[in-house]
Formats: sequence, structure tokens, C-alpha cells
Amino acid sequence: MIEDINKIVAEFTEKVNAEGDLQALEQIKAAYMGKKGPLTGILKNLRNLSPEEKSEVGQAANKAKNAMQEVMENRREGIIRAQIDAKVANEWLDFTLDEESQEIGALHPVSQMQYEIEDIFTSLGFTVQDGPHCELDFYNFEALNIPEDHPARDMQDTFYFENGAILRTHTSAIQVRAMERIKPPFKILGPGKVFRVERLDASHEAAFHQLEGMVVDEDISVANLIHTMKTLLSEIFQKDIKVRLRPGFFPFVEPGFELDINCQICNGKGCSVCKQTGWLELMPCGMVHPNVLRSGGIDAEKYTGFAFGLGLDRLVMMRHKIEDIRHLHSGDLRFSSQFK
Amino acid sequence: MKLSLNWIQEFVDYKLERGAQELGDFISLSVAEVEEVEQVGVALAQVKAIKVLSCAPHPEADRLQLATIDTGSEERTIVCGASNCRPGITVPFADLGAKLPITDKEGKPAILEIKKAKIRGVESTGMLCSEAELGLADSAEGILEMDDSIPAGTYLNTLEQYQGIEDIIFEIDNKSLTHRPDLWGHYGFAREFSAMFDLDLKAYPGENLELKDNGFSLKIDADDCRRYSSLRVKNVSVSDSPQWLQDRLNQSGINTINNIVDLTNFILLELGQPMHAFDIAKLKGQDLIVRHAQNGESFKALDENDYSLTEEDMVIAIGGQAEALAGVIGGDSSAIDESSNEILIECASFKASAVRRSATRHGIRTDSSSRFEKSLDPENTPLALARIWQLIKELCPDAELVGGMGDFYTQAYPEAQIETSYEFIEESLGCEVGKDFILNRLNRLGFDIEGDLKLGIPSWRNTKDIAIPEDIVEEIGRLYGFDNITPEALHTEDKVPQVNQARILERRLKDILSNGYGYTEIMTHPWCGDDELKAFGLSSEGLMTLQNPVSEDAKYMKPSNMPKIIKAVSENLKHFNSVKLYDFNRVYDTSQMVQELLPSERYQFTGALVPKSAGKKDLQTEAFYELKSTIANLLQVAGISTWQLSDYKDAPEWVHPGISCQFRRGRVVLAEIFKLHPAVAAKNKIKSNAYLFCVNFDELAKSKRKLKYEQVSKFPAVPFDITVQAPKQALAGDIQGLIRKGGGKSLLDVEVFSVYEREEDKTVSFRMHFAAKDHTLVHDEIHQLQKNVVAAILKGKYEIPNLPDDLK
Repeated sequence: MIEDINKIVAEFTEKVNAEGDLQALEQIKAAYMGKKGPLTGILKNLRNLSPEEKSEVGQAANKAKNAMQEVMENRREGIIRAQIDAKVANEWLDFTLDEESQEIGALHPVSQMQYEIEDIFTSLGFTVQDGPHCELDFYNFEALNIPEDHPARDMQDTFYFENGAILRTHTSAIQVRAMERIKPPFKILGPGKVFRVERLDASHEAAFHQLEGMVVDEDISVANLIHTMKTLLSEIFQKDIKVRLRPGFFPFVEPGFELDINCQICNGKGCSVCKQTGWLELMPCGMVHPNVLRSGGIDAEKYTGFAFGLGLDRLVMMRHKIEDIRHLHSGDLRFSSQFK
Repeated sequence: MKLSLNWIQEFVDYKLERGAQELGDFISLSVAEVEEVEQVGVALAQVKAIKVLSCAPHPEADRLQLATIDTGSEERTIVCGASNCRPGITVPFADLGAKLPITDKEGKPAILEIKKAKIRGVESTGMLCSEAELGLADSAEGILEMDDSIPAGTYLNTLEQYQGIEDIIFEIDNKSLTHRPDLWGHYGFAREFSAMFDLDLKAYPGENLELKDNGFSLKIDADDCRRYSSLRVKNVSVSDSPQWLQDRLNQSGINTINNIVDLTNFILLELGQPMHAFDIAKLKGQDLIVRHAQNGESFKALDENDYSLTEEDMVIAIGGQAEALAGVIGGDSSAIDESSNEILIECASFKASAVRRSATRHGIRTDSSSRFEKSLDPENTPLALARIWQLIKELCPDAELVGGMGDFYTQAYPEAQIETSYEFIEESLGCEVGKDFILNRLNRLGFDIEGDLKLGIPSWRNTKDIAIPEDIVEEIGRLYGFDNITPEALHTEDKVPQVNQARILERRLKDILSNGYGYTEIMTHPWCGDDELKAFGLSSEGLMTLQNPVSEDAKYMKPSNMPKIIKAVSENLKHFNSVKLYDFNRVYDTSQMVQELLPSERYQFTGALVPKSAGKKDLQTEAFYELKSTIANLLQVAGISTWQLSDYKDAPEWVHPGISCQFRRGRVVLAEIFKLHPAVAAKNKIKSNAYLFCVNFDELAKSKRKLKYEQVSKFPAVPFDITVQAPKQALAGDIQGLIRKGGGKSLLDVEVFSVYEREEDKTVSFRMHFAAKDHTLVHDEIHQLQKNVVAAILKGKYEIPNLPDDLK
């Protein structure tokens, strides 16, 4: 009987492995392993055997059943895999097409520059402050120690509104507004648009961007100012930057400086950009004039500070070698979308 | 302003021990910005006189000659292109290696280095020079023919006629002198040299003058005149100025006129004090009044223009006639000319603001007005007169004073003192400079020093420039050299700074829009004009209006940014077939003024989405819903979790009335999206469908982002679908509202999964899920929930086709 069982298994295995169709496979399974199959027939005859034989044949039959089950499973998996492989072999895409392209956009290069600098400063403990574009004379001039007859107030520089307000001409206007809100010691940063009466051309814009910084504490010195400026510039340019401080006159600082950096185009050798001097004028800065501190309600006997301004447009133009400042406010995506 | 080193050296024994450019840099670092350094006459030391012995034609070129010359030490043959080159003449010769500063074809300074060269096949070693090549003239015809008595081999700088020409001219940026009235003349810079290099400053030269009546009666009837000094001189002979005087003026870019006028300008350049000379014979009287002009008073100035004055102008009236616009320009009628014999020299001190206003009002900027508006030292007027009298005597030996110096000094600056200390100066600089250094430099600058440390401000710095201890810090700092200060890190206490949440949100939203949804940021101007307003149906009434706009189309502060966005869309569609852009900007709302004069500046994100027009799917409808979800996500990121969607109320003309909505919280509009109205699109030549949005950023910034975690449910959610029949313009959102009401707390979510438009109406299919937080819903509960939802929908007067009986 055991021989019969082995024969059945061999026959089944041969048939199953020769079959390539899943449905036909199920039929083979039913024929051999179903109620009417040969194995069942053998098991039905068990009762005629001795107990020893019964156990021997029974075990063999169970073993055979498991073996057939396994053969069956393997074959089924094999067929499914073959079907998938056949399908995959026919699947192909032209990866050079862009059927559903989803492009990312870009932040404006001035925003990018502004945020980069903000990040450097906030990591140094500065907070970002804001102020209005339409400003009172007080915040833009008077509080900044700019007397009424100072040239900066000339009609050709400042936009005046019919009601007497003005458009801020520098982000320094943010200084006193900030001092009204926060008390020293503080380190603040005021980025934003500023406005001057300028006819538009390749290098002149009536609306441009500045970034104002101010530090107020006890015992702030010129040496501190130089250190902070150097740190900042090295971060912006990602390398050590040579700077020099020249005396410069701005009514809201005393002493006041013009900070020059080593020309980044010619490395200080002299070129047309730096007018052969090897230096580029970059940042007006200085020690906050006591009158400005007083305008902001700060005790100028106790506190000192420094302030600086940075023109963002010029930095952006230098960084990307942008030839015409008019692109910045053009709204032209052929320009803006390049800064992804 | 141009500064001559020679001139400065007349007042201070400075010896040039560094390069010209280096000295220029040093002035920039210590005093004021030097824009350009020009070396005059440097060619003279490199060029010698030679004799031309013979000339022969160049074998290859008709215009060139081969000149044999005697250099004083040898004979040499060189190629020369000058037509006046001929045997016997004495001419300047630049030998190999000479470096001549010249002006190139574009007018820029350049260096001409003499090298061995082959000119048309013939070797030439050296060059015969013209006046232009020596820097003695702007242009020249041919080579310079010199006096034949000059021996060959003589360097030109040793010749008598070229003494004093070698010089260095520094072009100073006038803006950097705004606060320094004392630096508008060479003598002031000489004082700076004395401080920079620790050298003695010579006293300002001049002839002693006595105070004495000179026949003119003087009255000052204007508050803006501090001092009026004058000198009356007869028997002057007006003629051309001597060469040295002409050279001085030419070097500084001032035209020469005649000796008297030139001398007044010479002193302007030397001391910074403007002066004016009247021809007494042409005056209508001898009563001089400094007064305000009458409104409409006419005045013909030296520039030969007629000006109509106002009572804010100040004039010098003599014999009842305005003879000068005070501090700005003299009058034409009393101008000095060849016939003048007796003159009155005015040397006055007017207030800066008055002169400035006059000059601005009439559009006349003169060397005089630009100095007065810096607040000149009134102590200078006698110095200037003493100096001019000294020079007039030199130029016109017959000249005589009539009387003495007239001087009316009504408003002197009060003497002022600053109390400071060595410690304060050094602490402010953050650097040990040393007491000796401080004392020395302050002394050189003319401060009166008393104790530790009371400083009397010298009159030339006392008009506005120096007033507080910080000003002294600047004086010491610049002379010590700010570059010599060692940088020192801030030692502020550790304090976590306040974070600007609005700025963080702004950046987050930009990041999502650009880097998530693919929008590109643009920037637009804050202005608009009547044309733009009219084109978009907006009124200019009440807008912030500029007095002095750059142009008519930039007259108002924009009340809405949409016109800018629509224009940007229109422009960009010329180059792209799809557009995604936004602007983060402010609009200027004058309906709520701040501090009386200022508009409320409202931050907005405004932008546009123009999908690709070619596509298989119904992209147009999709684009609106895509934009809607983009905006909803922005609100969510800002921390706003609930809002109402509503029709666009009070829509401007650019909004499509049927394809638009607002995100609201009660009355507050958080954001709005809409399809561009086809009429506005057509007007702006936009052929594609454009979808626009506006997010009121300030409202978003008010919200705080709060995240609330809920336990992940362990109990299964049961789905339920239902299809509702509704009128065509019914809002699915309304039906969803009913479903939520019916489902109550057990309703997990509900969404629309299909809309089927039919001829008369539409069907909308919803899928929802029910679940309980604390147990698995049993059959009866589910059935009840379904019944509740159905009841709520039916109560809302919608129909549910094919509703099973057990849910009715």
C-alpha cells in the first residue's frame, strides 16, 4: 500500500509541475486530494489492516498529503510569479518625458538674503523688529537727531505725503519705534523696504531694501562694534573679510563710520567696481548718538550702543551678478524663478 | 572738493614720505573720504630737454620721421610722429622706463610707460613729448618746443618755469564734509595734517587791519546775519591774475575772471570763507542794509539771470538796491570789471538755514552757498579780510585802504566747553589710546585744554560740529585710527531673545507656497497712479498721496495689490503658459489712520495660479479646488482650524461672482480666492483662466498654533454612504453641515466622493464614518446614527433617492 501511496505522490507531482494554468492546477488538486481522490480511497481501506500496518500506512498517507500540498503551493507561486514576470517584461516608461511635472517655486532673492542675515543675527541673540513704510517725520528724522535743515531732508531725497507724513528713507526709522516697545539691554534687527526719490535706471531704484541693526547695553564700545561687524560679514561671505572703518557723518551716530570691505571682485587689487581703490563702501555704522537714545526714552548716561545699516539690494546684486536693479521689482518670473 | 598738497604744505611742514595713494587712503581713514588722487607734474622729473640734430624720413611711413637727437650724454635716433619735429629745436624727451600719467581716449587716467618698440619696422627707444603727455595741458598740437638756451640733458623739474607744478591733488567727497565747516578750505586741512602727523600749524597769514569807519553806513535788519565785515579799497587795477593765482584756481576747478574776483575765490579755497567785491562806482549809495527782500523784489545776479525774491530771502541792499542775495550770489549791476577802481569787499557770516533755503528756493548752488550752509565760523571774517588785503597789496601796489575794516558782529556763538575724561574716551573706543596721545591731538586740533579733561571748543568747530563728549571720542578715534582698535566680542548677559512670531509665520508660509506648492515670490512697488486705479475700478479718494512722486503713475500708496498681481500675470503669460506667483506685501488702508497721519499698513499674501491650458483633464475646475486646498492648508499652518466659507461679499470688479469664495471667521475675512473676472481678464489680455488669492496675513499672525493630540482609537470605524439629490446651486457644504448635525459626536468624518450633474438637478454622494471613543458600536447604535443622518438631510428639504425602508 505504501508503494501505491508513493506512486500517487509521484504521479501527482509530475502532473502538477507540468501544468501552467492556475485553474487546471485546482482541478488536478481536486482529482488527487479531493474526496474521490486515490489517497482517500487508500485511507478508506485502512480498517482491513492490522494495528501496526494501520499506523504505518496512516503515517505514510499523512506525509504524502503534506508533500502534495507543498508541491501544489510551490507550483502555484511559480505560476503567479511567471505571470508577473511576463507582465513586468512588457512594462516600460520613457523617463525623459515630464507628463506631470510639479516644479517648486522660489523665494525672491532679496527675501532669501534678508532671511539669511536675519538667521545669522537671531543666532547672535538679535530680535527682528518691524515698522511702517509711511512714517512720521519724527521717527525718520527728528528722533534720529536729523535737524530740520539737514540735506537728507531735501525734497529730492524724501517722498512727502500731502498730509505731512513721509515714506521712510531708511530702516533707522525702526530704531526709535523699537525703543518705545522694548527696554535695554537689547539687540534688534530691522529689515525692510525704504524709499528715496530716484528716477529708475539700471542702478537706481526708488524702493530698495535695508537692514538696520542696533545694540544697546551698558559699556558698549567701538571695539564691540568692529567685532560684531566682522563676525557678521564673515558669516555673510562665508570667509574672513578685511574691513576698514573710515570716519563718516550720520547725525544719528557719534562717532560715525563708513565701513568698507575688501573688494570681493578683485580681492583688493583694484578694479572698475571699486574704482581702483580695492575697497567697497558697504555699511554705515556708528555709536548711537545720545540724543537718539533719549528720543527712545533710554537713559543715555547709563546706556550706550551701536547701530549699523546694510543695503540688501547691493549685496544681492553682488552675489548673483545681477546687472540691473530694475529686475528686483519687475514681477518677471523669468528673473525670480531662477533663485530656486 | 579738490585739495592741493602744495597749498596745504604752505601752512604745515609736511614732507611726503609715502605714496600719493597711500596718503589719500590715510586722509580717508582719518578725516574725510578721498575719492581720487591725482598726481600733477610727475612727468617733469622723468623727462629731460634734448636737442633735435637731424631728421630723416621713415622708410615705411610718410607721416613719421627718424630724428637723431642729443640727449646730453649721447646721440640717439628715435621715431617721431610730430609734424613740428625739425632740426635745431629743444624738446622734452622721455627715455625708456619713464611712466607718464596721461588721460586715455575715454578720458580716464592711465599710465604711459615708455618701452623699446618697433614702429613700422624701425626700432625706437624713447619719446619726444607734447604738453599733454607731460600733463601740462589737456591737449596739444605737436611736441613742446622749449627755450633753446636750456642745455640738453636738463630735467624739466629743475627748470624755473616748472617750479611748484609738481603736486598731488586729492578729490574729497563733499558729502563727507557735511558736518565740517572748517574743512571747506585748505587751511582747515592743514590743521588736520598738523594733528595727523603731529606737526606745527603756521598762523594764517594776513596784514593787520584796524577797525575804522570806511564811509559806508551799515544796518543789519535780518536775524539770519551773524556778522558783516567789510573793507574799502581804492586805486585797485583790475586785470588778469598772475599765473600762480590762476594755477591755484584752475587746480580747484574754478574759472579765473580778474585779479580781484580771483582773490576772493582764492580765499574761499584757502580759508573756506566766501567773500564778495562790489564796484563802488556802480553802487547807488553808501548805506548798506542787510535785510529781507520784499516779495516780488527783482534781482539780477552775476549769472545774468533775473530772480524774483521773496521775503524769506536775505539781501545786501546798497543805496536801496539789492546788490547781493546774501550768501548765495552777487548782483550783476555792481560787478567788478576792468574799469573798477574803488571796491567794497564784503566778508560776512550768514546763518546756514537761511542761505540753504534761498539757494534751494531759487535753484542756485554756488561755492559760497554750499559753504555757508555748513554753518561757517564767524570768527573767520577778519582773518579773510586781513589775508585779502595782504594779497591785494601784492597784486596792486597802488591800492590804498579807505578807512579801516568795518565790522558788525551781532551774533557770536557763545564759547562752549565740554567736560569729559580720559577714561570716557578710552572706554567708548574700547581701547587704550594713552593720555599723551589724547592731549597732543586735541592740542593740535585747537582745543583749549584744562585739567582732566575740560575742553574749550575752538571757534571753527563750535558752530554745530562739536558739542558733546562723544564728539571728542570721534576726534581721538579717527586720529588714532579705528583700524588700530582690537575688536572685542560683546559681553552682554545670556538672555534668550524674544522671537518675532509673525516673522516666523511669514517665512513658514512663503516656504510652503514656494517650496511646497511651487509658487514663485515676486516684488511689486507700493505705488499706483490714476490710470491704474481707474482701470481697476478703484477710487483715489482718501488714499495716501505723494507731493513729489517720481511719476504720475506712482502717486498714491496702493489700496489693493490685486492690480499689480493681475498685471504680473498678464506680463508673465507672454513668456509662460502657466503661472504661479505671489507677493508678500503691504496695502495702505486709509480707513483707519494710525497716529493721525499714517495709514494702517496691512500685510497680505496676494497671488495667482494660471494652470497649463493644454491638458486631458478638466484642469479649470481642479485649479480652483487646488487653490482652495492650498489656502486652507496655509490657514491650518497658521493655527486656524475652523472657518466658514462664504460667497465673496462686496466683490471688486476683478472677482468672478460665481467662482469665488471667502474664508471667514465671523466678520473677519481670513482669505479669499476667486477666478479672475473674464471682463477684467480680457481688458488685461489674459486669455487663460486665472485664479487669484489674497490672504490677510495680519489675521493669521494673530492666531496661535496649538496642537492637540487625541488618543488613537482602538475601536473600529463604520462606513456609511449616502447619495443626496439637490438643486444645481445647492452647496455640498450645507448638506455636510446637516450630516454633521445628524451624526453628532459619533460622526468621525464626512466627505463628498462624487457629484453627478443632471439636467434639472444633481446628486451628491457622501461617505462618512461612525465610531465611539470608548466602545465598538453595536448594530442598533449604527442603525440609529444612520437614521439620524437621514432625518437631518430630509429636514433640510433635500431628497434621498432609493432610500431603504428601514432608514425612513
